[in-house]
Order: sequence, then structure tokens, then C-alpha cells
Amino acid sequence: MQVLRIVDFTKTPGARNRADGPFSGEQFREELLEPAFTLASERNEKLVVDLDGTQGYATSFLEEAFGGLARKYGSKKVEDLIEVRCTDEPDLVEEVMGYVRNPNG
Amino acid sequence: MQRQVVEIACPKILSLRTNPDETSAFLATIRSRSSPGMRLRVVAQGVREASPDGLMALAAALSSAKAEITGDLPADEGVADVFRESGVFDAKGIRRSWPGTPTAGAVFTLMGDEADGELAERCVMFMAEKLGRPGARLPATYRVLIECMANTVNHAGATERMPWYVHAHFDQTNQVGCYTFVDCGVGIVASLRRRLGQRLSHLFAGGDAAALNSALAGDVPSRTGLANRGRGLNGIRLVAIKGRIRRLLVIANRGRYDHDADQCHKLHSSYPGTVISWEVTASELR
Repeated sequence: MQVLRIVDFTKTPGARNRADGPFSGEQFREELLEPAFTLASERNEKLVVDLDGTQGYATSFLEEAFGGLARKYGSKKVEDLIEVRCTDEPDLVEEVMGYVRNPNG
Repeated sequence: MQRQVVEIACPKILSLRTNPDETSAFLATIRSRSSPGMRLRVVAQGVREASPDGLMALAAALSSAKAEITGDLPADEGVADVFRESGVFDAKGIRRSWPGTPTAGAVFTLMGDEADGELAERCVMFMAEKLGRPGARLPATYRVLIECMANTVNHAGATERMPWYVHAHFDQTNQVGCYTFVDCGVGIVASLRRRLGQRLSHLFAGGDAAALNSALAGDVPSRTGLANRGRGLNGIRLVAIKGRIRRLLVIANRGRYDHDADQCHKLHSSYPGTVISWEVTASELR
């Protein structure tokens, strides 16, 4: 099982796209989340994504990261492979899974 | 030949929260007269009361003005101190700088032009220290700040990227922190009308207040058409609904949303830009 901690990417997540500013959801997804997801898929193992330890998250960051992942790989595959954890703000887990389950609204 | 100086008087109560119509009219006048070559004098002498949101909206308007501007400070020393404490106005009038570091006392102002988490973090850290828990987090405020910054980056400028301005003020007496986010762009409603007006004319049939209310309710689609996008304003309102920020106030163009009153009403004068203001206490710290 892999564990990917967003705080290792940044303590200060940004907005949606790289053009918006540093440490965007797009940057996180492309540089860290997708490679980790691909590896987890190849190994047929869970990928745990830990949201703890940052200053917080904009909705646009989370939607671009996780909704974007689901748009590329399909909601079911993402939901089957990813486990999202957050003890700082437990509500974020369901928010993220909402973006995964409904990536196109 | 010397150009004539145009004097513009501040309202006695400089506040978008408690005196929205006069204050937005005053700011709109500065905007409309601030073309290159103009000379303006902002007369603040008669100001009796200045709230953080009114002060910052004025400071932002002066920062983005293209005219040559001079001014004075309020005659009331207490109110003048409020102007000076912001760090934007100096002892002789109007300096229009943004220190980016906390001034002595209870105020922190800064500006930027992208969605920058490190700047948002600095705003949070300032307030956490004032609220008695250095290093604590304000995740809801952090979310609001990033969404506001992204909104300015993506929508405030008609043809170019606009700066945003943030003011954090701590009320020692009441132990309340107040954030004010301002940009001097086209304003949320005008931006929506420009992007979606033809497709969704019904949203604007009720005027700016109704359109702003729709945006806050999440009823306005993004230009991509994806339902999970374009919901930054709704996200801000949801944070207020959950009680994680207090006294949310949103002003854009002729719309004014007061979360506590659960009202969105029409301003008599259009505010040239966007102002989002909210408060936090120690109970919001994490």
C-alpha cells in the first residue's frame, strides 16, 4: 500500500490550474497523484492519500486533483484504488469522494 | 497650465457594511475620475468612522488609480490612527503602499496577483497569533482566501490580470479577527454577465443582486459547463453556512450579500470591483 501525503508536496495548496499560481491542484495531480495512481494500479494495491498537515484546501484544488483524476481514469477505477484520509478536517474525505464520483457534475 | 484638482469627499461613515450606498458611490467616483492626467484630492477630513472593509476598499481604489492623487487624514485622531495603522496611509496623507508585514498593533495588509498559498498562510498566521494560538490553522479562512485570489486571477480583469488586496485586522477589545479581500476589477456580476450573459440572460433579469445571489447559491454554471467548476463563490458561502467564518459580506457591482441577514440587495451605486469580508474568532482555530 502506498501513502501519498499532500503536505509533502506543499503545506500551502493553491488553486486549480498552474496558471492560477503555485502548488495548484493541476500540478499536484500531474506530478504526484497520477504517477502514484498509475503505480498503484499496476501493482493492484491501494493508494492512500493523506490530506493532513496543510493550511487547508480550496475546493478548486481538490476538484482539479481528484475530479481530474476521475475524468482521466474513470470514477470507478479511482474509487476502487484510492483511500482518502483526513483527521484535521474529516469532512474533506466525503467532499473529495464526491468529486471522484461526479467528475462531470 | 496647472491641471485643476478635483476634490472627492469621503463619506462620514466609510463602510461598505454599514453605509454601503454612500461608500460605494464614493469609490465609484474615484474610479471614474482616475484616468491618467487627472489630479484628485481625496478629502478624508470629515470621516468619523472607518470600518476595515471601507478602509481597504479605499486603499485598493487608490492603489489601482491612474490619476495623480493626494489627500488628507480624518480630523478625528482616533479615526486617523485607524488610517495610519493600516500601513497604507501615512501621516501626511495617502501613500498607497502595501507593507506585507504586520504593522505595529493589529493590522496586516498585503497585495498579490496570483492564488498564492504562502501569502494566504501569512494572513492566517497573523490572526492565529493575535487570537492567542500561534501556529494554529484557520482552514476555512484559508479556503476563502485562495478562492478569492483565484477568482480575481481568472475573472477580475477584462483584458489583463488584476491585483488583489487583503487586509487582516484584529479587534483586541472584542477578540475578533476581520479579513477584507478586495479587487478593483470588473466585479463578479459584470464578469458573469460578460461570460454568460447571452447564454443565461434569465440570471440577470432580476438585476445584480439576484445574479450575485445565484452565484453564491451555486446556480451559475462555469464557462466549461462542468457542474463541479465555477463554484468558488458557493464554496465561500457554504463555509459561512457551516459557521466556520462569521459575518460574511460580499459586494460586487450593484449586488450586496449579507450572510447574517440572509439578504442580497441592490446598491444604489455600482461598486467598481469585488469586496469580500468576514470575521473569525478563536473558536475557528484548528
